[in-house]
Amino acid sequence: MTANPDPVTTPSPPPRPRRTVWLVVVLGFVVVFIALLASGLRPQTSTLLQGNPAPDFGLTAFNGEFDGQRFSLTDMRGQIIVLNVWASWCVECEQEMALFERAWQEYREREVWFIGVDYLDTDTAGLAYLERFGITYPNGPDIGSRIYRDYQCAGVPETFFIDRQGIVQHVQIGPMTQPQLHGVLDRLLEGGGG
Amino acid sequence: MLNAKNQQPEPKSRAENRRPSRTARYFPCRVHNSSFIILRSSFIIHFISLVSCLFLLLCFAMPAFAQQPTADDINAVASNLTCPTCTGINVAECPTETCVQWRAKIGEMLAQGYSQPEILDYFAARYGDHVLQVPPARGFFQWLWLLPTAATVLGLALLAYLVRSWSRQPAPAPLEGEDQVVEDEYLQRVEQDLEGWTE
Repeated sequence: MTANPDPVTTPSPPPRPRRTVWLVVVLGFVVVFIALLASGLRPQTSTLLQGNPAPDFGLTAFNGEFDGQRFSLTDMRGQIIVLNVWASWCVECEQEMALFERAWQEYREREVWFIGVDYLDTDTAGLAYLERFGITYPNGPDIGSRIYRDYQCAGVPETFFIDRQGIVQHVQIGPMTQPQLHGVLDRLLEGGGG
Repeated sequence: MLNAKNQQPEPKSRAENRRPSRTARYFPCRVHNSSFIILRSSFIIHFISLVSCLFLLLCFAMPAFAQQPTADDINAVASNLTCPTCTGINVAECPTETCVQWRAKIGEMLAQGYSQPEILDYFAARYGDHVLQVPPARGFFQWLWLLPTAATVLGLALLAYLVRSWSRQPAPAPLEGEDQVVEDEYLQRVEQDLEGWTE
């Protein structure tokens, strides 16, 4: 079988630069779109912070003797920080609030600071909740949910144990028990990791 | 020794017998020209103080007199906020504890005279932009507005370009001479083949 010659033999025109520009623009657009989608698929879990420097935070306390005082990681460098994210509507948080208060009283003299981050609460509800559990350590609202986002939380309660060098040594997702809390704090005070 | 009861009152002068003025009746004391000015100015001071006190009282009492917002008023604002602990439910329809608290806060702010945009701004600043049902055109959320707009503009531009390039393409020249024969032969062959198929 012989192939018929092409009935119309016209030389193909060279590719125009305008077409290339269009191609680049469209491809660039597609790449940006896929990159944005991919960023949403990135795993977000607070445990990834373990062993890494803690993100800086700023919090203005709204309770008790610390009312109006500003706390930040930068200012508290050199001290052990227990950063607890809670909410008044969180039932599981209730299990550990009294425990944290007892531990605060016990470890306060040893430069261990408990900081409560009130997530997605109204001030009225948050303060009533603190009063209910007799909490005296500094607590404050998470303005703009920044701390929650920076610490990659996925819910409440979550607790971060930050050592004197500002490294997250332990991340607790969910409520803590007394042996767990004391175990982590004692290890941190001895200078070890969580 | 004189008995007080037996003492006769001294006759009053003409000026003293005159009916006292309204100011003098208000301040029952002897009114002289100089003291009258002092009394009048003190009356004005008292009056201004009284009015100021009433004004202040009214200011402090205003929230109590302010109209309490209805559930519909609250829900009209709450429907613009997203429940932060659920997925896609607005605060007006959500039964969670968080949303109950937020509705109470909205009611409180409406009673204090805040407008809907002010309340929404407060919630966005306090809890983050993600609590708004309509994402604001700032920060990361501006991409939600920019990308679809850019995609639409790009798509339309691409379409316009393609339509324009197609319309400018010259129509194929009619085949003539030997090419026409070849074409015809080819068509004849196709026709024959087709006839063979139909039979």
